[in-house]
Amino acid sequence: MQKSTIQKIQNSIIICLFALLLLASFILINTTSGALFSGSRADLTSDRLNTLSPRSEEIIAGVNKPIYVKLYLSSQISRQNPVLAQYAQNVIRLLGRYQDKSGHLIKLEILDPEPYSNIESEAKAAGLVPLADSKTEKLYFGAVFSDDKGRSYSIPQFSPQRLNYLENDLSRAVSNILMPKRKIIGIASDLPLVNSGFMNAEKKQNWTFVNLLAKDYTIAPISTTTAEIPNVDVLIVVATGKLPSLFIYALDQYILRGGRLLLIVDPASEVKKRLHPGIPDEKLNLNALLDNLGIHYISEQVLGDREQAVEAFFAATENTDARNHIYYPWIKIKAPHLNPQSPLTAGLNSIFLKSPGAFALKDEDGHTAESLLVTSENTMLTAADLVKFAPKADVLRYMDVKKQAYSAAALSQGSYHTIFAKNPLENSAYAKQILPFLTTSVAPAQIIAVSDSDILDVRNWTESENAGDYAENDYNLTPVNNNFDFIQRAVDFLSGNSGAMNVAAKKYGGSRQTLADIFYQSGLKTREKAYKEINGRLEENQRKLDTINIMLESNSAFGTAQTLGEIDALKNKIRQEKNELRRIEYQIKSEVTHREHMVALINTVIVPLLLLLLIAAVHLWLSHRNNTRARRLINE
Amino acid sequence: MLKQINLIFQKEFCSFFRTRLAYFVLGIYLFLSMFCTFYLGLYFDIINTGLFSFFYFQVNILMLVVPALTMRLWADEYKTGSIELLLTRPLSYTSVVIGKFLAAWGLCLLMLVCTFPLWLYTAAALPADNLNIAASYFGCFLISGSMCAVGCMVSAFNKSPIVAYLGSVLLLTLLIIVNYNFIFNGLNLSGSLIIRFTQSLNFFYHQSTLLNGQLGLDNIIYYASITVLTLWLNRITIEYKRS
Repeated sequence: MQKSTIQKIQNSIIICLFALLLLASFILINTTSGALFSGSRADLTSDRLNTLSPRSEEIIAGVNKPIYVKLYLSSQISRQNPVLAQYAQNVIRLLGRYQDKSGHLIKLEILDPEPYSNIESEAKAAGLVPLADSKTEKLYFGAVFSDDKGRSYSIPQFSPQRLNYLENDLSRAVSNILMPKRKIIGIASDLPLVNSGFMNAEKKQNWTFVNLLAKDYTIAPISTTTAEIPNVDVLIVVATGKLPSLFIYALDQYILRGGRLLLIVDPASEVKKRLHPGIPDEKLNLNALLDNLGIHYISEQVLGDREQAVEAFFAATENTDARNHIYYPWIKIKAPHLNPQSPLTAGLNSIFLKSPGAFALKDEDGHTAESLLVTSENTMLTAADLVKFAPKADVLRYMDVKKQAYSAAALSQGSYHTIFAKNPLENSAYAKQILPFLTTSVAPAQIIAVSDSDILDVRNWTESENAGDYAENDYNLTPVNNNFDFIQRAVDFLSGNSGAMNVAAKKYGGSRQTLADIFYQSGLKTREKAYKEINGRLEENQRKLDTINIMLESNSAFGTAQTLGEIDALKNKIRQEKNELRRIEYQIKSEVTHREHMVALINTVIVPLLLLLLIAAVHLWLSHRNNTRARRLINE
Repeated sequence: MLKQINLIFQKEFCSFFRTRLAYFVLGIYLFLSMFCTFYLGLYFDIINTGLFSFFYFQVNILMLVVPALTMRLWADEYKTGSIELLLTRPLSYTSVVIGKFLAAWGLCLLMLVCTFPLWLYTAAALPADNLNIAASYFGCFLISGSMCAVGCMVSAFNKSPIVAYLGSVLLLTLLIIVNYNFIFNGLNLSGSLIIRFTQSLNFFYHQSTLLNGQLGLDNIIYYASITVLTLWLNRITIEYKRS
């Protein structure tokens, strides 16, 4: 062999070895840097979306046994939907953080539920819900958390709309697996909260907040005619009118036996007004019970707050046009009026109340009362009947300014005495069937009282399009305030599951809108007056129709020819008004589409062309300058 | 050395514009980016505070566009024979390699800057997460740098720019799509050390981390190491070919 060939082969070997060495050092450097630095990253999102909150870290610190997380993610998703693919990366990364922080006690497994595979059947059996936009095959994007004891908790679907709540959902799932036992929540109410078919026989389902609570607790409906509260861990009572005396006795005894009670009273329930139009209710009769808890309920008065009031729609009257205006009884309570010292309200952002009642607190022997939600010093009071029946403008006119802060929610805990001078059931048939009458507490009780039932209405705390009284897809809800968080925390606190108390969301609605929403809203603004007028008429006619139907159903009116004619006329009007609304919506949507096309066209064609022209102009100018300089130099 | 790099950088950067290649590549890049953002990325229908619709497609677009910038950097020199002229000048190999790479990377920076009007528009229309967007731009800049380096290296192997382009696209595709975790997924090793090690070699992992507003030293080291490694190989190739 020639010397030069040997030299070449030697050179080639040296180069190959060198290349291999480089590759090895590349792998070494990156694996080392991955091991050293992958846990410490700068979170460069303004909402700190990639950083675990201290509350989540506390929950993770409590993990002392393996938790298996199966993330079902159809591989088709990344091909079909870039938004979901992006969100899937967020979910995987955040779950990775949980895994790292738990010292790998939380074990993440990513599975692809291919159609007709065992994994797909597994996902279905675990309660995962396929994505709505999957046409030909079912695509899954959800997770199941489980432990060695066979306990499991499912997140049926991850929705990008819940980006701000992602950490909340994951932490809740982990804390649920850690929970020793599923607790029972009793719900007693004069509103159709649980499995009700009020006004709409085919729509028998729970209110959304009940469905959300049912993920973590067993829900037991309780009648308001009972004389004894059955064995429940927490009792939720919603009272918007008069409760039977027997039930008040049951509540009194439940408290004395160390009960945990979330008592929601409302002197002017707007949700009830919508559901039961035209039916007058008898006034609340819980003053004595509340007084006994150290929470003085200011009877039949509604709170207003100049500082924290929000806008409401004022219907047109003879003298004024329809308009939006600040309405004092609608209050958005924000920090510092959300008690920062209480674990029930710390870290929350805002709570929206509609015409709440007023509490004044007093500490007494044996128990303490603590404010959770308070109004500002610019508080006003007005009669509940006025709020219920008078136009909004009149309500504002008759509000009395009380330079004093009131509570809209309070926590009372300790020992109490009965509100009854003697056993009211002493000689009745009940006396032998129920537990003996107590005159004083045998165990300390905890009671959270809230003065507004509208806090529960999903319309007041979400921006979901589904949000009616019931939301079809609870996993897709996008909260705009902390109403549900507050209720959930209250139930967690009372049930003793403080470990599960929720992680506050990073940010709330409003600012997290799509451009299509913004375009739609600006289009709606130009037609707002007409839209709201028609909508107001529609609601009014719907209410009238519902009232007639209720009267017919309850046999308090007969189906005469005149009534039937009235029903027909109302139905015609409703149809026309719905058509008008649809026409306006169609116009707005056309405008939005046109605007979107314009923006896309400008950014895709016009802006790039202008930029290229600008660069070409700069290039020509620079060339010209250089040429001139060169010519001058040559001449010189 | 810096003077030499600057000289080569200026020469190459200007030649992009003299040959009209810069206009062509810029035009294609801007059109593709905006088309994907508006028509495939659901720009109007998702919460776009971090410009997700735009950044989601960037890696794929850069993968197609960057090799077009780098394909002729060395291949043309070989084809026209000007490589001899270049390398006989009093310039070190390293400065020539770095100068050419920086010229391509500089044009990538210009390409990214040309998309700022979209950022401005979004920030005016929405409460944009500017920090996140800036971090994502930085991520794209790093990614484009490593792609430029890979493109330069492949170009140094070839005399034909077309082959260099196709070779670069192929190599970048392999680099991006190969997910080493798949090798171990079947073994149910989730969370184990080996998965974490392989993860740190995945292009996609670093890319998605960076474009989601999470900046770590490991991301920077990953892209920097790809760049340094390929530029080194580029230098060796030139030296080897010349010898």
